[in-house]
Amino acid sequence: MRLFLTGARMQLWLVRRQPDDLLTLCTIPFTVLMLMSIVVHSGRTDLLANAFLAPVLIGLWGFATGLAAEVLLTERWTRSLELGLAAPTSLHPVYLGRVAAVLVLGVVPLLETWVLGRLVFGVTPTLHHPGVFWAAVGASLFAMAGTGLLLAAFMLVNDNGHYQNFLSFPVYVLSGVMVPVEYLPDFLQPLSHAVFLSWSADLMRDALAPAPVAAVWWRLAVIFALGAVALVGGRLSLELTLRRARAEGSVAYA
Amino acid sequence: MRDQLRVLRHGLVVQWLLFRGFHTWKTWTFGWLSRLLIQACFYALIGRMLGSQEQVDYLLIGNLVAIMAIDATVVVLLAVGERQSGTLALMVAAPATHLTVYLGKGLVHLGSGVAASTIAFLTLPPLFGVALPWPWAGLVPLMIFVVGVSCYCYGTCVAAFVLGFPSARWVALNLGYLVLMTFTGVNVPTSFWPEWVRGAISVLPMTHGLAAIRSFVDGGPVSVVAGELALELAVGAGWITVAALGFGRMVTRGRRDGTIEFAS
Repeated sequence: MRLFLTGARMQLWLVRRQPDDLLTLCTIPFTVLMLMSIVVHSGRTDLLANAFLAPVLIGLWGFATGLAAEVLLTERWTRSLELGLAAPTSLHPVYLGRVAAVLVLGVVPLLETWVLGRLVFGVTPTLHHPGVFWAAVGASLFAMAGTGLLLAAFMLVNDNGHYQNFLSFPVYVLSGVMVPVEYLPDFLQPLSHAVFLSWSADLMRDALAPAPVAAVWWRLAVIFALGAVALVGGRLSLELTLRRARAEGSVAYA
Repeated sequence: MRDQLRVLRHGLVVQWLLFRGFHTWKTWTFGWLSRLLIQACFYALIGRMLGSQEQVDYLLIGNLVAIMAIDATVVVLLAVGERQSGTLALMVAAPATHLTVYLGKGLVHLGSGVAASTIAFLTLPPLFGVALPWPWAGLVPLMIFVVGVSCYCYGTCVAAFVLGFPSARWVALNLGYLVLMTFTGVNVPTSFWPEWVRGAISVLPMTHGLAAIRSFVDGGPVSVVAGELALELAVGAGWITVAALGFGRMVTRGRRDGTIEFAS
C-alpha cells in the first residue's frame, strides 16, 4: 500500500509540472459546449442527460488512454524504467498508484460539466438516483484503472501514437457515451457489451432518469468484472513485457 | 521569391520524409483516417438520435469539413518541435525566413487534412442519407482546400505564440482546433452564440468557408458562395500576417535575451 501511495503522490506531483498532462481537463469544456449546444439548439432537452454524461465519460477515458497509458513510456523516456526494474522490490504497485492518481483527476470533468452546464446554458440534470450514480462512477473509476494499466503495458510494446489516437472516437461510438448503442448498426451492438464504458454510460443515464433503475447490482458487477479482467490482464501483460525486455536487453532501447 | 519557393519546397520534402517515417499508408488509412471518419460519424449519429434528417445533414457536413482543421493545425507541433530539437536557432541564423520553412513543413499535414476531409465527403453522406448536388458537389473539395489554407494560417499563428511555452504545445494544438469546432458553425449555427461571441467568430477560419460550403450544397447563389470563400481567404491572410509578426517578435526577443534554445 505504501508503494501504491508513493506512486500516486509522485504522479500528482509530476502533473503539476507539465501543463500538457492536464490536456484532457482543457479540452472537456469544449466537448461540453459542443454537445450541450447541439441538444439545446435542437430543443431536445430530454437528451440533456446524454450531453452531460458524454463529456464526463470522455474525460475519464481521455485520462486513461492519455496520461495513464503513458506512465511506463515516460519512465522509459526519462531512463528511470531500468532503475525501477533494478530495485529490490516489485514496482507494480507504484505504477498502479500512478495510474490510479491519474484517474482521480478523471473525476474533475464531472465538476467541469456541471459548472459549465449551469453557467453557460443554465441547466443541470437532476440526479434522481444519486446512490446508483455514484456507485456507477466508483465502479467506472476502478474499471478505468484496470484499463489504464492494461494500456500502459500495451503502449510499452507499441511505442507510437497510432493506437492512442485510434482509441478515442471509435470507443465513444462503440460504447454509446452520447448516442445509445441501439442507434448503432446491428452488427456493432454486441461488441459494445465488451466495453465497460457502455455499461457505465447506460447505468449513469438511468440514474439521471426518474424511472426506477433495473438490475443495478448486475450492471455494477459487470463494470467491476470488466475492470478486474483488464486489471489482471494489465498486471500479467506488464509482467511478461518487462520480463521479456529484461531478457532481450531492450528495457532502455526498444 | 524564387529563393523562398526553394526553401518552401525543401521544408515540404523534409516534412514528407518525416511524415513517411511516422505513417505508412496502412497506419494513415486504418489509424488516422478511420479515426477521423468515425469522429464525423459520432456527430452524425447525434443527429440521428435527435430524430431529424436535417440535423444529420447539418452535423455531418460540418464535421466533414472540421476534421480537416485537426490536421491543418498540426503545424503548432512542428514549430515547437524545431525549438525542442535545437534546430530553431540554426533556422533563425539562416538567411531565409524561418516562417517559410514552417509553412513548407506544415503543407504535408494540410494535404493530409484535405485528403481526409475529401474522402469523408465522398464516403459518409450516402451512409447517412445526406443528399448532395452531384456533379457540382465535386467542387466542394476545392472549397475544403480553401478552408484548409485558412485553418493552416491560423495554426501557424497559434504556433508563433506557443513557441515561448513548448510544454503547452499539445494543449495549444487541441484548444486551437476545438475553438474552431465549437464556435464556427460546425455543430450549431453561429447565430446560436451570443452577439459578443459572434464578433470573434467572424474572424475565425472555417466560419465563412463552412458557410460557403453549406450554401453551395443547399443550392445557394454563386455570389454568396464566392463572397464567403473570399472572406475565408481574407481571414487566413489576417492570421498569417499576425503569425509573421509573432514569429518575428519571438525571434527578436530570443536573440536579445538568449532564450531561443531555452524554454520549457
